[in-house]
Amino acid sequence: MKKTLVILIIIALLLSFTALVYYAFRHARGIPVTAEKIERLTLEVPFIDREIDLSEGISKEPWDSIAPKEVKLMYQVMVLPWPKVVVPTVTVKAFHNGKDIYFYMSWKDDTEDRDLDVNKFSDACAIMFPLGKEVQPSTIMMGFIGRANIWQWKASQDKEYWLKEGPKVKAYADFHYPFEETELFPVSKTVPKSAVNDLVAIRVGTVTPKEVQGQVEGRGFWRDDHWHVVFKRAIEAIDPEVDTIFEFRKKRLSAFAVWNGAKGDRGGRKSISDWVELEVE
Amino acid sequence: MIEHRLHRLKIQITQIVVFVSCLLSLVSLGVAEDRFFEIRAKKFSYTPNIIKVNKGDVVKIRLISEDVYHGLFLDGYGINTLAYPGQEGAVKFVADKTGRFSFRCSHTCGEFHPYMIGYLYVSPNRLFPLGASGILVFAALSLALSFRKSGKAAKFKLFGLVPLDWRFELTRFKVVRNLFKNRWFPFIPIVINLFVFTIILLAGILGGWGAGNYNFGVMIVWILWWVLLMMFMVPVVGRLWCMVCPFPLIGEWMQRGKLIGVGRQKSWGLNKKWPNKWKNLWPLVILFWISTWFSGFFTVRPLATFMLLGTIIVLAIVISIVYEKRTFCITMCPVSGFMGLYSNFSLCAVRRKDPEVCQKHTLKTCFLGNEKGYGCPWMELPYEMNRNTYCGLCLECFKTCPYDNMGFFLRPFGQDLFAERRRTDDLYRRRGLDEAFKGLTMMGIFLSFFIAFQGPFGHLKDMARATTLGGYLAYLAESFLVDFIFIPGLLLLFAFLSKRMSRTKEVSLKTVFVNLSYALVPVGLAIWAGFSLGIILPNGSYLLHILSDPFALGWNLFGTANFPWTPVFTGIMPYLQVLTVMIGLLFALDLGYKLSLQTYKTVEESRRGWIPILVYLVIIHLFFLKLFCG
Ligand code: SF4
Ligand code: SF4
Repeated sequence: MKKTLVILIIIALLLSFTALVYYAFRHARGIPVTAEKIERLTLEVPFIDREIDLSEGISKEPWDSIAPKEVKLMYQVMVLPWPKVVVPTVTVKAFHNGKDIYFYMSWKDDTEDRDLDVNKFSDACAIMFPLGKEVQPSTIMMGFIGRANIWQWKASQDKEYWLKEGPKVKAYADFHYPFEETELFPVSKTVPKSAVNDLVAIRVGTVTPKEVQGQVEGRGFWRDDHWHVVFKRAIEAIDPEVDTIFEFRKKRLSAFAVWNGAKGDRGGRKSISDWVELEVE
Repeated sequence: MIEHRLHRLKIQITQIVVFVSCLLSLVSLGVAEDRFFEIRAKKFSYTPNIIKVNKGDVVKIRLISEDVYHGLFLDGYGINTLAYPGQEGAVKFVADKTGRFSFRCSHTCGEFHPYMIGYLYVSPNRLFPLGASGILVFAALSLALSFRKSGKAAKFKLFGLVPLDWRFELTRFKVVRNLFKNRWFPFIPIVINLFVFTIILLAGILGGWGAGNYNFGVMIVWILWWVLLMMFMVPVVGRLWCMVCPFPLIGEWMQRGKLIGVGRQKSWGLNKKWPNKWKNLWPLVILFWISTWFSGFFTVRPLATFMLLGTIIVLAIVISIVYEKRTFCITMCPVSGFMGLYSNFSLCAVRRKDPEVCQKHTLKTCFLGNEKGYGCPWMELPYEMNRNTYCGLCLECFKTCPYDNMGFFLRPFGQDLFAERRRTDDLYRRRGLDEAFKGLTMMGIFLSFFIAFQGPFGHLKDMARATTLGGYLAYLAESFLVDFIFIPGLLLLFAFLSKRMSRTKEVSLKTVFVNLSYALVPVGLAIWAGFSLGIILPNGSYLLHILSDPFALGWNLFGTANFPWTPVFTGIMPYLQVLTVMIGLLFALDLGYKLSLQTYKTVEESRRGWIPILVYLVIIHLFFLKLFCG
């Protein structure tokens, strides 16, 4: 009799302990997040003996012969959250002709947003190249460890530069770098020297246009719900301190970003990629 | 002739010691330069994990995180920086303090966060050669003294000062005696403790699988309790913890039918007897070793702490209703083994006062119990008890002895190591290889813990926290080899040499091995105390947080919930650790020689037999020194 009771007590004890542990496993707080390392994508930059005159368009033919790379994009982490609409992927291609290097970016966008207005923003895209050997592990903070060179093409600026059409309205909101006090005050508008802003940054809030603009050219067309943008720059860097140096048969990093103006992307709000390795052949 | 040769040997050894000490003290003179390090932090290690500079160098560190928020706090310099992916941290300082300094993560980055450590060496490291010289000088002095003292006189005084059989009765003070005789003591402290452990268990359940450094359960058990145990309770009072331990309370209550008053003397349960041949430390050696397999979980994960404590509580109840009295404490509780062994070194003990009174008292109520209290729950024979291993300080014998013949005594450290063998020692196969292996495995476990948890090696941490099954199994295999083969093997080798040098045939190798292993009792306590410093000084400040917010519900009970992580005295920590190691060594040398005298028949045999053991002690202490500061 006593033996049965003892056995029953033991069984009850074990069962309740197991139940408690099970409950704790199910309802415990603070499950840690695991971060996995992502493999880097490589973008080959083949040699193609072609030159593109952007004033005539972005030329379809050399790009068709180059295999595209799909680069995944993610949200730019920001201090203030906003409704997150990510542009999921961007197609990129590149080639060089020994003198100039060309990049092609294409992504889906249902609307062509070239006009600025109040609460209306321009579509845009950018390529970032870290300068120097020290590179931070993530692209989020734009060149935290060393400097970064950023080429930003803006649809509104493209219209202004190539089609010579400025904003139609007198008052509009645009986002200029740097995001310091000057952003809060009216600034005198300069005539763009290119559809592409050639910028340097060493961290967030330090994005600054280079003194000499126009070295990087760019042009974009919107067709069939897609943007097609081409960047062009001479391979040789003018100022190695602030210009990206492209060396043959050497890997270097790059990252891509896309702004969807219709969804409220402007300034830092954008979709960004992780590092992509460039291989200039 | 022999005396003469030994004298020459003594002089030679002293000369070698002086020479080696001088050599070790020679320091390199470097030219100060700018040093730049890029340290990448990733759960839970730094790459590089060890950096070396010279005194005066201007050190610039760039900290890059590859996964989550990490920090870098440099002991001794008090410098701190933070980094997260995309945001680097940077520090710049002049390396004007020399020695080895740990840099540790200063931002909770996951469960192993408190173990994320790297080493900065600023040469010349003076502490290591200084400590090494100290070890060699102490060993040489000990050798010289052991050859100087005449006959066995040395045996009777600790450091030649306090007679080893000296004792001072604390229960001679009425307040203490009345307290010990009161049935509410130690019941009240047990209940308070039970309250604390209830919170610990709750916090364990609620804390789940998250990081433990902000969890009440993990912090109280593994930071506060463990440190108190190793640095105060065991060396000073022996099984003080057992006196107030709440785990056996429920089982004991079921056995007795009463919580405070005196109920059944015979257990309500099945009251079975544990087999005599397993009434020694062997089950505890194995169980504690097995429980250390999970140290990479329960010292950092609240739920794992809950599971460990819960298992102990359930087991305590089950064993109590199946077996008699405190069978659980004697044979199963994982921490009981080392507390028992190390209590023999402690400053306090419960003993009978006058042997004659006990002899005349034929009805041994301290063993059988009476209306005032229970017969010794630990199944000791209080009337002839001469060691602390199996005395749980429950104080029942104070209540049951009608002649007030039990006393609580202050005595010199290590008294019990020289106690006479008793009948029960043979009957239960106690005081043999079981205690030797308890001491040896404790050294091995210290080694694994120190290297995995306070060392800079990320891959070992990954093994201990079982990121891969293969790595985890390798960790367990390493622990087995070190604890049961390598460390005992080394002592066996030196015990063999000791027996050879003593040239005796009458003493067995096993006796030499077992007897001399007791010299490792103070060593074990010292290294664990050193280890405990490495836990409490860097991490103690988390306690302030968890006291105010035990369940991580955002409470601020005592206004300390937002107290930031603040390492204290971590700059002088290696000095304190070396000091504890040195104190351990001093005791080991003094008690070790006395143990040698007790083992061998003649003084000459003992002296010759002592030399290899002395060498052994020097070797292991140099090794410990290397661990703590080299
Ligand atoms: S042996 Fe263990 S369970 Fe028993 S009283 Fe001591 S600590 Fe508590
Ligand atoms: S009754 Fe036994 S365990 Fe309790 S204090 Fe006395 S000897 Fe120690």
